[in-house]
Amino acid sequence: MQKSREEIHKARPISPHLSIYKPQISSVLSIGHRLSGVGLFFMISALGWWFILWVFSKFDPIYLKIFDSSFVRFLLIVTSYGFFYHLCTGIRHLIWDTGWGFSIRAINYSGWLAVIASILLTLIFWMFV
Amino acid sequence: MKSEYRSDLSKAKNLGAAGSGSHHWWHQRLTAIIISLMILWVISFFGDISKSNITTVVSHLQKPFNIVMLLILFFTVMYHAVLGMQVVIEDYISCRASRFVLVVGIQIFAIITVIFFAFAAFYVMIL
Repeated sequence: MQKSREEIHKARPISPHLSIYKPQISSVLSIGHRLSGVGLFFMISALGWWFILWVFSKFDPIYLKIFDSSFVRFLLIVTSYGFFYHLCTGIRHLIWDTGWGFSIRAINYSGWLAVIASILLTLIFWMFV
Repeated sequence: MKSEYRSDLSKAKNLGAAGSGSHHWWHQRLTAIIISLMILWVISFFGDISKSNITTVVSHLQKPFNIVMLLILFFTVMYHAVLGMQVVIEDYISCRASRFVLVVGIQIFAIITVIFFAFAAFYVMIL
């Protein structure tokens, strides 16, 4: 008996099977770039609406009080790391777009460079702010 | 698609039937470069307001140059984020209806946010 279109569609392999792969610097950084991007979208939206509501409430001091909370401070520190991480891996992507740095050696090297640079940038940022 | 159905000019332009499609990819890169360069302004702004109280921060924000830079940065970041969220949604949401609702919903949300942000920023400037 012939299978319906739906059944054939369901039987198709769904790639990529991420869970069977050993985590590698290239794959982990790629997922991290997406994850940090999604996180930054929510954080920039939240910060944008914080600013809008703060201004439209005629600068109600209650909006400044939330920065005393340790949870909000933790969130901002994570966000700052997410930003610098996304920046470093993003620059890596822009360099790839020029067709440069595609050897396995260069990919591993630039990957670890991005990780180290993002940690250093986060530390420098919080030292000065 | 059989290659003979396409004209030589169509193949050379490499755009397909819709005549477009690569601008999302291109705008994603363009906004990425703009944001990366604008970090220089963000650093100088943070340097100005570092360890100062909120009234000083607002007075720095009232300078027209800073307000314009903040608006350009916020718009560019939101545009970049919408394009990125669209790629992620299109990759992981297989249901066409929810994919459409999410992508268009995020676009509308971003437009509303940018408009309100612009009003708030101008309100701060004329304060």
